[in-house]
Amino acid sequence: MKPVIVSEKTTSTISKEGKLWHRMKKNKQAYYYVLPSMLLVLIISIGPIIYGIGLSFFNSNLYTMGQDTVRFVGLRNYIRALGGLDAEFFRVLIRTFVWTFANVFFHVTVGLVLALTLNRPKLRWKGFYRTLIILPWAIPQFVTALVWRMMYNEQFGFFNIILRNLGIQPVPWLSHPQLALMSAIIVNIWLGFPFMTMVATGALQSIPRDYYEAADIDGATPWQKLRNITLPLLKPAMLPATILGTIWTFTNFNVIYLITGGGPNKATEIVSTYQFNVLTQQNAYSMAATYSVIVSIILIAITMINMRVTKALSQEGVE
Amino acid sequence: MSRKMKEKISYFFTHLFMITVCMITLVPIWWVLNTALDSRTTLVTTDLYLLPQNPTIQNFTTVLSHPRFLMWLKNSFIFAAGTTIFCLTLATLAAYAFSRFDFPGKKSGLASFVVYMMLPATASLVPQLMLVKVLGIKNTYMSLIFIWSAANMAFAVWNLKGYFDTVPKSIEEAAIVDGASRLQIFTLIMLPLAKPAIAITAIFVFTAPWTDYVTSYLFLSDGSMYTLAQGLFGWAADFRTVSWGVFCAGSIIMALPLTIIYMVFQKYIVSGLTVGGVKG
Repeated sequence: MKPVIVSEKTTSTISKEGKLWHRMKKNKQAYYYVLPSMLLVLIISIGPIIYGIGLSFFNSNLYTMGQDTVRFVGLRNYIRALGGLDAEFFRVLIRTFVWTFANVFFHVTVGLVLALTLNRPKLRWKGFYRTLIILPWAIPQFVTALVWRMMYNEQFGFFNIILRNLGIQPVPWLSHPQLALMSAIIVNIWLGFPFMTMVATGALQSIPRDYYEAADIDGATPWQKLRNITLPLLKPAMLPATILGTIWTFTNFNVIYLITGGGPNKATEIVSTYQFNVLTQQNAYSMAATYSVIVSIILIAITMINMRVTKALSQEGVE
Repeated sequence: MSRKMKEKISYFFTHLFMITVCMITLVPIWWVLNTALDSRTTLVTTDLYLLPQNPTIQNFTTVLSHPRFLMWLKNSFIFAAGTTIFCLTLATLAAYAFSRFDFPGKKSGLASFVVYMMLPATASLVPQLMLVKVLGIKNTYMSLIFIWSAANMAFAVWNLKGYFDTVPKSIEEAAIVDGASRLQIFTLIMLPLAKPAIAITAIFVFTAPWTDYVTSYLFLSDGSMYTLAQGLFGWAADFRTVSWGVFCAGSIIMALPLTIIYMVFQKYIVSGLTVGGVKG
């Protein structure tokens, strides 16, 4: 008993800084291990990001930089982006939400339906079906997007050749504003549902069989079993995956850019492609930075909700 | 009897449904393979057959003997392999420290990686372009290996730390008793144990440079540094000089290695994504 008390006393008499220094010295090696990666991220990414945030308060573009008339403009870029002056960005933002909602909705519903179907206990060739369904997820998105663009080609693409052979008028898949957005959404649904199928399948397999057996004894209908056992137990896995999917879809660049390029006439532009085009075509550095900051704020909000939900769910699991 | 019949009918429709879904899923994949294996010499085709009329691998030999395609392939491989090796070396070291040392600043260090994951990479593109110019490393392998490594660092560190945390400490304690140094423990005990986690993380990190178009488009202006993604993008836009068969063969060559890896490791990749992935 006694020595313990003594040691407690001695540590408390050492000043707090001395203790910190002592701990730092003792773990000296840890800093050598952490430092290289931290430095790389700091120099290559965090520094530039902070610079970029700063840039959004200036009027920097190719013209002003050439003329040496770069100056501080306060919140003007933000007012321009979100206010009436630049209704274009506002439309792009709304379109991004529509794009995200449509995609995630179909990813989750299609993914769930397929996972539930594949989970039927006596279904044969399950593994075979599952493998084929997962394929779109395994192929690099970049390649998929380019291939779909060719299939959508109005003169020679697969879809219009089929329509023509059936004697139907060819469809302007990518040159009609609303249709082009729909075409891109179809591609992204094709790309995204396998991930949800996989997550839901994993979660389904971890639901104990006896729950269903008990429900059978109580005479539950399949619908009741689905509503009261399966769906609630899928929630902990599906919710984080859905939020993750929302972030991926919101920031997706490849599908829109490679298939429509944001066209025709900016009709399919979403924030990521819009920002890219503002940057590369107009060389409007400050405006591009401003859009980035706005998108970051939206994403941080989504991530915060994500963390809350995941935390709430894990606590639910503990109880 | 009637119940059995009912069940049979219900399974029949389930199969019918699954077959339909699989067919829809396979259409683009079938189309690419069909186009790549077709021998017709026209640049584009206007009629369709279920199977190639005169199956041939001629498009593949054309692509694989195309000097520029080989150059893109080489560049992409250098970028992807370089990024994977560089990023993982730094990330395993950091992850090990975060998992095993109790040093002041550990919590804020880990938290800063999370915050960093939330910031979109696009916000840093313009300043990064300026930085690369200032450092005089434009159009070099190094510049993009740095950028891709930094972009994937947070994910890699968190993913690996999560794995190191699951390795029981008793193994190391035994080694410390035997007089092993921290570095020895790391290289001789932890690294071999963490092989599966490192492999999965490596797949993710490799995918980014291999399939990224934006970064290479913005940072590489020298044609001899172009990546596969840039090259194929050019081919896709230009079907007057490059036939669709050749383009499709090139796409397959670019996609196949990753597709096989993703199919083989699907379970681990999905759990890795949902656990450690905040960023796409």
